Amino acid sequence: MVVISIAKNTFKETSRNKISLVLLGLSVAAILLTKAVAYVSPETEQKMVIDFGIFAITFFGVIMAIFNGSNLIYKELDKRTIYTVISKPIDRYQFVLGKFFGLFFSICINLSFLVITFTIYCLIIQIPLSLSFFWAIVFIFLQICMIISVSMVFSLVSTPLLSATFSLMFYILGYWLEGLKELLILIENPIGKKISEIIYNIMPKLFYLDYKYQASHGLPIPTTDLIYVGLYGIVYICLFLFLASILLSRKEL
Amino acid sequence: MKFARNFKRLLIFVVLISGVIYTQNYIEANAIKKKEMLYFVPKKEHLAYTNFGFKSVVADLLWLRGVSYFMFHLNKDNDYKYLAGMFEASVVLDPKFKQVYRDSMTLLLSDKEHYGEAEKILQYGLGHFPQDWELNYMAGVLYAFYLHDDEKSLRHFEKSWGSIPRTNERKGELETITTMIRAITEKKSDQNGLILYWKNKHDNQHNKESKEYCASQIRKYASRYMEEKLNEIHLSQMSNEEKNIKFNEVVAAFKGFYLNHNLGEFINVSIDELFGKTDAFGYPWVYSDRKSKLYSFGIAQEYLSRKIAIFNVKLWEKLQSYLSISVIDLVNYNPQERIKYVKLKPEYKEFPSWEEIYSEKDDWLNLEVPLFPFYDRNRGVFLVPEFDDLKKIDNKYK
Repeated sequence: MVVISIAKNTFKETSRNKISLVLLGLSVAAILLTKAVAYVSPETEQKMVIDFGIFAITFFGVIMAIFNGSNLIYKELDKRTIYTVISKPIDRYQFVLGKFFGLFFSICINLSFLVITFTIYCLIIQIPLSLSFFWAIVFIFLQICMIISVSMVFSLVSTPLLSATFSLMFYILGYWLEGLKELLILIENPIGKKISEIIYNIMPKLFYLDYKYQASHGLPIPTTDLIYVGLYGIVYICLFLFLASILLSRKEL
Repeated sequence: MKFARNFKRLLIFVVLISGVIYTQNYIEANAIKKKEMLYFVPKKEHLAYTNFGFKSVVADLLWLRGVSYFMFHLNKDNDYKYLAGMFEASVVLDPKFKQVYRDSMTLLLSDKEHYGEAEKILQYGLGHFPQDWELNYMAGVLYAFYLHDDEKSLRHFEKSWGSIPRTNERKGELETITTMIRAITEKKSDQNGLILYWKNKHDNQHNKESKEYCASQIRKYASRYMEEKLNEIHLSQMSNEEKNIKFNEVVAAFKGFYLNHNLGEFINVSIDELFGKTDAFGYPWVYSDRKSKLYSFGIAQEYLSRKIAIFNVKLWEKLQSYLSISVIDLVNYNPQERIKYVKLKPEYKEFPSWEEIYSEKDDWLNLEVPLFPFYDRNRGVFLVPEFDDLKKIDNKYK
């Protein structure tokens, strides 16, 4: 109940954000312009419309998650509004969860709006969407949850600007690791190889949750993959939220 | 006072806007035109590690950039040195981007310098779509016409032939591929070699239509084999008796070849009942009297000429229903003057168009192509051909 109340407040607060509306408007415009991009190469229209549509949806979600997530708890601490909440009999983890779900639902609603707009748009311009497309969207939501949770962790140990930078790096690194895996074969120095392997194994791999390619070509995704990758994402989200709770509870408030 | 202040603000605003418009016009008119277009094609390996999950989008952008780059240089300097790099990077990021493999062939092959790059991209594509009929077809074309490697070309055409869907939609493409296979195989083999090639192909096919196609090729080459041999004999200076002996030798050799390679099932006659004979006009033929039918592999030239003559007479029979003069009467006039007598009957407003005649679809009208040399499109009339004219028909119509 406490978590829901905090989530509701966070949802209201983030929904009022004007930047979200501007970004949302831009993403809708980008979706509507996908057809124009594909016009240059009519035979690849289906692929390009889907690629650019997913790009718009992902871009909006990631930017929103990074910038809102980095400010989420920091603002409460900075403006000392957190005292009004923690003076009540609630646990710190409840506060963290409330904040997380509040922001998640806020982004979720905006993203859902984008996905629905894109789906209707595809129906109008007669571009078939495969099941893989919808799975790709589900995993984009999961990625965004990961970014929100990690940015909450960063916001507890640094300023919003640094936190946003770290979160962005987290996102980039999450994909770059895919390349690192291939590079590992080429590294000859045993120490360098070991360090790279440790980095690879420790860091969360966002590219696991990436099904954009399958969506673009309408390739099937095995159910077992979906289950394991989904679990992988959820476990990481829980881990980051847990870390955020610990960090918040260690703060002397 | 207030008016003066507002006026000053408006003035500053107008001056600033004018400055923007002026400078923008200057830049547009001069600087941009003179500016060399700079191209940066990142290395494909770097792109693979720095796309941050947007491989597909980056591949799309590179593809679009490549197309616009090509269009920009087309008919200007025709210099496409970065084109292959853009396409290569695009397919490395998105190996299933089939359009790039297809179109990069078309674009890169516009310049001899890029044949090797086109081959590299296409081979990369074939690595990801080994059974794709379209890519194999393109590879076949690339090797046949650009890189002049018949072995590779044939290999890809054969793959394409094997995997192309046997639907009405793809009928045209299938015919083109088979024509290409035929052309290449004919280049590198004699009639017997070609028969064996198609026999081998026939045995490896599972599709009924493909098997039938191979069988038809075997029949065709068998027929051609006989035509060539018979022509040889016909044109020789041997006596009729000697010719008869020679025919029987040819037929015996033909039978032997067929029996040795189990080809008997591919021709509609019993191979044991074949025999050679000259007809009343002294033309050599091969006969078989199985099921009371007479099958012949005659001299193609004469045979076709006869068919065309019959065809044209039949056509005139049809056309003369529109004309005020019969064909028989028309033939009596000087060929140069015939056209004067070809008039439409009063009940017809105009001479039937080619399409109208073509649409009849009668059996004897299916052979419409040889008619063209006798159809005067400008005047919309058919000329009556002489038998000698028929002999002059270009080989391509046969």
